[in-house]
Amino acid sequence: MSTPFTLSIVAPDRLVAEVTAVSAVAPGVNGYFGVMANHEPMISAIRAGVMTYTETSSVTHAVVVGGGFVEVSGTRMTVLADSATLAGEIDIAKSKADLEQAHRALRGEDSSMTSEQATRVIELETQKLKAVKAI
Amino acid sequence: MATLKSIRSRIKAAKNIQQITRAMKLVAAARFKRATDRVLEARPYANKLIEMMGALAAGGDLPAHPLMTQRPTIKKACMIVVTSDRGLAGAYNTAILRKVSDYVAALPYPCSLIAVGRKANQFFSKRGFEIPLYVSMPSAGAQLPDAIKITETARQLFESGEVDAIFVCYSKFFSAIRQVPTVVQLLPITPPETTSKAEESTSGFNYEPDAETVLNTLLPRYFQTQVWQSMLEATASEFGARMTSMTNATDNAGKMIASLTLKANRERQASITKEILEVVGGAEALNA
Repeated sequence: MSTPFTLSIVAPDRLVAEVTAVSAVAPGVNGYFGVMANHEPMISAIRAGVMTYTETSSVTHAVVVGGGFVEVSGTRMTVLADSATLAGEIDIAKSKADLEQAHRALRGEDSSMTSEQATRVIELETQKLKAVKAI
Repeated sequence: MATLKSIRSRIKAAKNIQQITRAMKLVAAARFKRATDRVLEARPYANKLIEMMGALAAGGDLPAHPLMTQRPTIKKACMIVVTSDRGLAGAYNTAILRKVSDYVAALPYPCSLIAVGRKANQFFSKRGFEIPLYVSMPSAGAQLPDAIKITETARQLFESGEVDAIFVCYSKFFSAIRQVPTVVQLLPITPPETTSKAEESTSGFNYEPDAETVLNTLLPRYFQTQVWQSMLEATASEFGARMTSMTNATDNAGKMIASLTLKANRERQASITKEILEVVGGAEALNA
């Protein structure tokens, strides 16, 4: 049995999860990485992607994060995400609509966002849809 | 001696005022609830970020970063002043404006101001302060795009070398009746002191992909979070102050109505007594 550690996922507007987990996988800038208890202390920048963690009850959850940081030290892991949505809370229809709008913006048919913003939206919404296996 | 008619018109006026203050109190109470929720929801993120900064600083050997470098001499500073757009919030705005005035007067170097809220803009532009940016504070509370705009302007001022330090003055929120104007230095960033013991043992972190990249993305975010947090705190304080002062105003209007009503009743009774006396006196004069 693996040693448990404390995992907290916070977004600027709320505390998304504060649980005792046995393992977690986060989307690092240089690729996904796994964390278990007593991982070497590190601070990593993360990009938009799907983060998964397994609780002590061996239930696995998925959270879509939109970039940010992860701090790992001893028995604690903190995820500071720019945005975080639990997979269960994802609104597929809204994600698809946002994705469509961002694509239109990139093609220059919609001026409500800059291409930079649109790219970010596409990245995030694609990850959300991937998380719920809608695409 | 006030006539019955004039007292009654004063009662009516007091009742009208009470109605308005009561309505304002209810509006402030509803917004206050929402604002405190927002502050409480935002606190975990800010706290974790501060913790992380502290852990980083305690880990030592951070590469130098322009946002963290203390400049040898400070020639000019900039202060972000967070007030409200509207008055009728008790001593809320006055307290902040006084604090800023005192603070800036005590600085040995000049200071420009970024005004948030119409009150700050009005007060300081009249007194000849340089205000490079003014954003209004909407009555629904602080907005994130405004915070981003302020952050960008402040960073630009700092990075171009025009100012050497950035402060923020806002009303820290404790409760509906207690808000304390606070000045905090934002730039250059001074890493918070670590209080936890666990951090000491972790000698240095591994950075992924590297320390520079992490700092480059972490520090601006840290700065922005601090600005945003202070705006949220200020919003909660504003509505708290407004709610308290409007509750007082409503109570005072109630007291005034009660005392005026008493006066009006006495006056009415006096005039009735006088009339009866006149009738009785007249009848007696006829009988005599």
